[in-house]
Order: sequence, then C-alpha cells, then structure tokens
Amino acid sequence: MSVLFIALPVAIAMGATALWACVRCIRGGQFDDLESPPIRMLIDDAPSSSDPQDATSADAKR
Amino acid sequence: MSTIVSQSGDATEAADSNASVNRQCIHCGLATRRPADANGNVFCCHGCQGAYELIQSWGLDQYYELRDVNGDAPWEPESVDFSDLDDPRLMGRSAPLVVDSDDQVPLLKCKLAVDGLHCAACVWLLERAPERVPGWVRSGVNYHQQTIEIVFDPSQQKLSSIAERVAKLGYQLSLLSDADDDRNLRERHGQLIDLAVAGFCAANAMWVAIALYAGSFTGIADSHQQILRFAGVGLGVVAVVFPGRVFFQSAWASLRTRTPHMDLPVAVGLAAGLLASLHGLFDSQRDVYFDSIACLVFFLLTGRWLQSRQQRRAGDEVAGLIRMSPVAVNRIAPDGVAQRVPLCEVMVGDRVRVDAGESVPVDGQVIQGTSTLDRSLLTGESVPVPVGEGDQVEAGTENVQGPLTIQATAVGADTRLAAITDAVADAAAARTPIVQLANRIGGWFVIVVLVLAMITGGYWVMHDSTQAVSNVVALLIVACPCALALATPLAVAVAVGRLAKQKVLVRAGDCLERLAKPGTVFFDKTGTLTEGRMKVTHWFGSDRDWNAVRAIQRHVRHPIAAAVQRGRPGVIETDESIEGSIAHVNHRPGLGVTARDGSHDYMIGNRRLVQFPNGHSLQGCVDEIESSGSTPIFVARDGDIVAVMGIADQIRRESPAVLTKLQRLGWQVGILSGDDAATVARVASTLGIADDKALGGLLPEDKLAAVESAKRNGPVVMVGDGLNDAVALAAADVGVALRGGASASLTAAPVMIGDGSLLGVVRLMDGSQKTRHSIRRNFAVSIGYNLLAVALSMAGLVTPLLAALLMPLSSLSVTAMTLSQRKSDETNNEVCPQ
Repeated sequence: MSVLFIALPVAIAMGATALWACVRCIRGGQFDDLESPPIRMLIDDAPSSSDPQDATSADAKR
Repeated sequence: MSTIVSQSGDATEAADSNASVNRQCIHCGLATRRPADANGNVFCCHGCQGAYELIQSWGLDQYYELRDVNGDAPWEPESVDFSDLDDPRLMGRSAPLVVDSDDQVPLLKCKLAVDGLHCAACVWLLERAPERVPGWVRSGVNYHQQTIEIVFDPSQQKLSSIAERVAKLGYQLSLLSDADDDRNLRERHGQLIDLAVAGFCAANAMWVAIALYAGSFTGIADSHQQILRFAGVGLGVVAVVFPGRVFFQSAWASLRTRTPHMDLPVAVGLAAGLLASLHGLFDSQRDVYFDSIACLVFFLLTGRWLQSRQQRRAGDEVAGLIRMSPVAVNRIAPDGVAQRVPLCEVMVGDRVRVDAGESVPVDGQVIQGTSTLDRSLLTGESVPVPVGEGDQVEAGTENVQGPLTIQATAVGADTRLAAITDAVADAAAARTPIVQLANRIGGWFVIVVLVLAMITGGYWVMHDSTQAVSNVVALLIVACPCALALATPLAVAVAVGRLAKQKVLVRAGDCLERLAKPGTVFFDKTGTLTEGRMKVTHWFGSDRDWNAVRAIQRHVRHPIAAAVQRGRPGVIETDESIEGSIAHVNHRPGLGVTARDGSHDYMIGNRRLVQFPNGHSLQGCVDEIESSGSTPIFVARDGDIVAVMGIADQIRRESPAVLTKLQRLGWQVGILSGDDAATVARVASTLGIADDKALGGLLPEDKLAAVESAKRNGPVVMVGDGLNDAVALAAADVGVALRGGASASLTAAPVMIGDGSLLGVVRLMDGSQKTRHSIRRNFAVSIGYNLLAVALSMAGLVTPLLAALLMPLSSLSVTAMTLSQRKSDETNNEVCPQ
C-alpha cells in the first residue's frame, strides 16, 4: 500500500476545501466590488486638512 | 492635473468679453469668463461655488488634491425634490432597513444609486462627508456598481436632506430600479464560481498529468498509474460537466436554433476529449487527455471573465430607463385630495398632479393648468413647448413651469416612454454578435489537434509502436490552445483598462472589434456637440436694464431664464437685485416674459412678442448676434426696445478638433438631432459637416432609421446623451454616451465617456486600432508556435516532459506581449486643448 493512495486523496481534499472556502467568499459578496477597496486604501483615515503625503499617494495611484 | 495652480495666474488678468475664455472653474474645470472672487478663486456658477464652500467648510478640501478629473457642476438645487426619499412605501428596493448601532440607537440603512462618481476623490468625499453631518452615521460607496449605502439616524437627520447635501456636492442620488438587481449579481457570482472550480480542476489535473509523464519516463507501478489516471479523469469530468456546461448549453441552443455559434466546436472538442479519456481509462495502453480539457475550460472561462469583468455595470440595457420614470406620483382622489402613491398603482382614467420640475409619469390629457414641457429627452427639442388644457402629454417629459393636472390615458407599459424603452431593448438585442476569431478557431483547433493525434498515433503504431504513445501525448500537450483562447480577451482587457484610465468606459469589449473599419459617426447635437445649456453670448444695453431683466427672469423657469441667471459675458454679477419691486410676471410660453419692475413695464422675448422695427438703432447688434449663430432676445421698456441679447447653446470647444480628427481617420461625420432643422444646419455649417449629413427634427424612430440605413456602408457609431438617442445608441454598432446625459442613454450605450469630453471618441478609435494590432500579433505568435510545435511532435522530436515545459511558454509569451504594450501606450496621449 503506497503512501500515494493516502496522499493523493488528501491533497485533492485540501484543494477542495480551499475551493469551498473560495466559493463561500464569492457567494458572500467579497468579490463584488474590486474597485473601491484599493481606492480606500490610499486614503488616510485621520481627518486632516491637507497632508502632502496624501497627494503623493494619490499620484502613485495614477 | 491641478487646476488650482493655473488659476492664480489668471485671476489677476482683466476680464475681457471678447477675449477667448482663459479661466477654469476651480470646482468643475469648465472654462468661464467670470473673474476671480476676493480670495482669488474662480467659479463658473453659484452651484460650483456652493459645492466648493461646502467642501471647504467641512475641511475636506483634500478632495481637490486627490481627484484626477474635475467634478461636475452641481445640479440646480431647486430642480430636484428629494422628499420621496423619506417615505419607505415609495422607495421600492431602496427602502431603508433598520440596523442597530453600538449605543442602541436604531439606525436606518439604505442603498441608493449615485450618479457622478468618477474617481477616488469622489469615494473619499462621500465617505468622509458623514463625519461633518450630524445624524448621517456613515456611507459606503461601491464604485463598481455606482451605488452608495447610507446609514443615518432618522431622529436627527432626514434622508432627503442628506440627499440635498450630496446633490450640492454634485452627485445625484436616485432610487435603485428593480431591474439592476440580484439577478445580475447572482450571474456574476455564478461566473466566478465556475472560474474557481475550473481553475481548481485545471491546476490539479496539471500536477497529476506531470506525475504521469514523469512516470512514463522513469517507469511507474501500474497501481500508481491507475490511481493517478482515475484522479485526473475525475478532475477532467468535473471540469467539463460543471464549469464547462456553459459551452454545452450554448452549443445545444445553437443546434436548436440552427445558428452557428462559437461554442459549438468548443463543445465538440470537449466532448471528444472527454469520451476519449473515459475510453482510455479502461485501457492502460490508451491515453487520457484530461489535463488539456481542464485547461481549455479554465482558459476559455478566464478569457470570458476578463471581458465581462470590465463591464462597468452589469445592468441590462433597460434598467436605466426604468430608473428615469418617477416612482411616486400625486394622485388626486375623487374628493380632490392629492395623495402620494407609487406609480404602479395609477390606473387609466386617474387624475395626477404634476408640479413644476417633476417628470410627467403617464401619457394623458391636461385637464387643468398651463405650463411648458421640456420634451428634450423624448424628442431632442432644446426649447420647452407650451401646453394647456386639452393637450396631450407624454410620460418622460419634464414639466418646467406650473402645476398640471393630467388625466391618464395610458400608464406603465402602454406609454410612449415604454414603447421607446422596448425599442431600445429590441435594438440592443438585435445587435449581431461578433463571432470572435479566437472562439471560431479555438473549437476547430481542438478537433484538428485530436485528428492529428489520431493520425500521429496511427503513423507511429505502424512505424515504431513504442514511440506512438509518447509522441501522441507530446502533441496533445504541446498543442495548447490556451494562447489562442487568451489572445483576444487579454488584448481587449488591456485596451479596456487603458481606456478606462482615460475616462472612456467600455462595457462590451466587442465594441473595439466593431470599429475595425471606418464607417459613419453620428452625433446628437444638444449637449453632445454643444454645451447643452443656454448661455447669454451678447448683451447690448444698459446695466440697469440688465439687472431688471435678471430680476424678472428669476421668477421664470426656462432655459433662457437660467442662462440669464448665469450672467453675461465678461461681467461679474453681483446679487444686489431689485427683487422687491418685480410684479405681474407673466411668462408666455414660446414668446417670452412680460413683467412690471417698479414704474416700468418690461417685455422680454423673441420677435413674436416684441415687434422689432426695421432700421432700429440696434439693427447692427442684431445682425452681429445672428451672424454668430445666437438667437436674439429683445428687451422692451414701456414699449421701446432698449436692449437686445444673444442666447445660444454654445458649441463645445473640443468639437471642431474631434470632428477633424475623425474625418482624417476616414470616418464620415453626421448629426442626428431632434432639434429644429435650422439650428442643426447652423451648427453643422459652423463645424464643417455636409448638409446632407446633418439631419434635424428627428423623432427617435427617425434616428433609428438613419442609423440602420448608414449601417450598409460600414460600422455606425452614435454619440449622444438623451432618451431620444437611446434607441439609436442601442441600434448602432457602437453607442457612445456622454456622461451628464440621461441615464437612459448611458445604459443603452456600450461605451460611456466618463469625463463627458468628446475627445473620448477619438481615444476610443485609437484604442480599437491598437487592440486590433495586438490581437493580430497574438494570433500570429500562438499559431506560429503551434504549427512549429505540432510539426516537431508529430515527427517525434518532442518528449512529453519537454512538451509540458514548452506549453506554458506560448501563453506566457502572448500575455507578456499584450501587457508590455500597455507600458508603451501610456506614454503617448494626445494633447488636450486646455
């Protein structure tokens, strides 16, 4: 009885688990908006009037 | 691009009414002749000034640094009434839900569509604004769907007042229509899940296959080979049966309807490969092709997903039309009391009251009141038409002036608006799909490879049976259709991404392929070739009369009145009006206004209202106005003509350059407009468009006919922005909608120009050219690779392992070529006129 007979189903099962998780994320709407999060990431949370850093991050985005 | 820097220099120059426009509004970037205010800021209108001051007062002026395009001029605040947002019964799918906050205050959450988002700064602004507004707890913008989720505390703040503030910033909130809903979302989810499963199958089938190839070199125990083969074929079956079912579904449909479809050969190839593998499973001498099958499914689906992902909103083309009709109306009960009810409850024979500024919700007859209707959305007429008792009115027109009571003769699906909507849907459905080269080739490719594999197998069995299996396997591996399947979608995706950076949003990638040969470009006039709003271009008269005219026109709702409020060229307006002394304002639709200002009687209007005698001292001025393409409006004080002004919807600054460029690229240029023929002819002659190509006075059906007839001489592009264009936009090979137009046309058009600049049309043409080159190059490379590799492997010069290493090279080379092109393209953008 080779280890392959255990390893192969285990490997497929692990992959299938990841696939199941991925499908759950899709159904849960995590992939619905791929545009806003990267935009938000560039914006500082702290309220500030004008911070030169923001301008550079906005430039980097372009 | 920073507009702020350029202003400070301009602000000191003297305003000159005859000089070319040399300033930009800080907020919206429109050229303006208004001089700077005390702080050196330049605004084109009060709306922009209000938005700027609001943003400043909230301390969110960072918005101006974040954004990469100019904002929109905000809507006239009084023109929109948001009170329906406070009545959940009238809100349909946008009805607020109760959510609990941390401190046990019940909050409401509500999802609305938002118009006017164009970049990161918009998202930032709308998500930071709640910090400055009490009772508005937070907001989440979904840039992809163009929606905003607002959480607010109803005890502190009404949703309608939040909407008003948002409108002041230049974003328009509207209710979600029932059409752009969960169905699309579920479709998108299904597509992604298919892709995920296909990816899983393909990746695992690949490593199983590599184990088998390695085994065929070094020797492998039968039991091991068997389990690996079972695993691989199992994965292949899953890939074909689950994600691959879409190919079989459309193949089956194409068989049933007897129309050739690109998925047919793909499905045949998949089925053949699958059956051969299942057969091979029970005969260890035979080969299994599960890895090629799984990969083919995965790459084809990847290509499709890449294409559809670029669609900005996956709403169907009619969604926007539904959004345009009002959802709530004032129905008058038999006892004469008006009651706000959802539109769907209105029956034929009911009476509804339509106030000024509202859209007419039904087709019907006016039974009370007189007003003017803005029919531009339905017909493209730029000037409102007068209506009175007994007149027929149509749903989708805008009541400009006074309240009307209308008896409904047709509601819902029976209205003319609905008929146009259906026509749009039909026209969009009738657009013949372009069968993509890749898909045509892809399926046959698989079949050809299978046939070649059989030939190779047969040949080698007769000559050297020990080599037969490995040569066939090598051929099957090395002949990877992935590059073919990826070539078009990748090129299109890159082009779409590049165009999106230039604010041209392409919702259907095949548009780029449709523009391959030059044909005809039709432009709508109002709001497309022209600014879309009336402006005062000339004023010959005294300041005192001007102030009187402004004060009088303040009481009138009409495009010309709005133009007067925006001011006259080269003069900064102060708001010290003589408001109090205006009386007896009488607006005479189609003619003008009469009013009393203090001790004088004023008449402001066209020739039909004010008799302009021959040989009057202002004759020279009138000639100048008319020769420049404006319409003269006369001002009479106590019966004497004392002033004349010119009013025009000015041609956009970029129009001439864009038309010249298109003509140089070999396109025929024409105008299709609902506005009167004389106005259209004037604009056409100014822009150098041939008379026979400039058609005015068209109904939506006429535009459709013009588009259809032009289709005989090559592809037709329609550029427009109204409901009256929606049918033509949907029927044209490529419809281009300018933002700022009606949402109807935006949803009917596969291409949207985000910054509302006509230069986008030129960028689109450039983009499609580059895409075509890119696709051709990809095909050349992948077909060349395959010919060479297949020939080598048939000759027995390629081992399976070498083949497995070679295979990804073709896909990688195509990908690398396409992506590297993007870098070189970003460096050459044409110079935009400032």
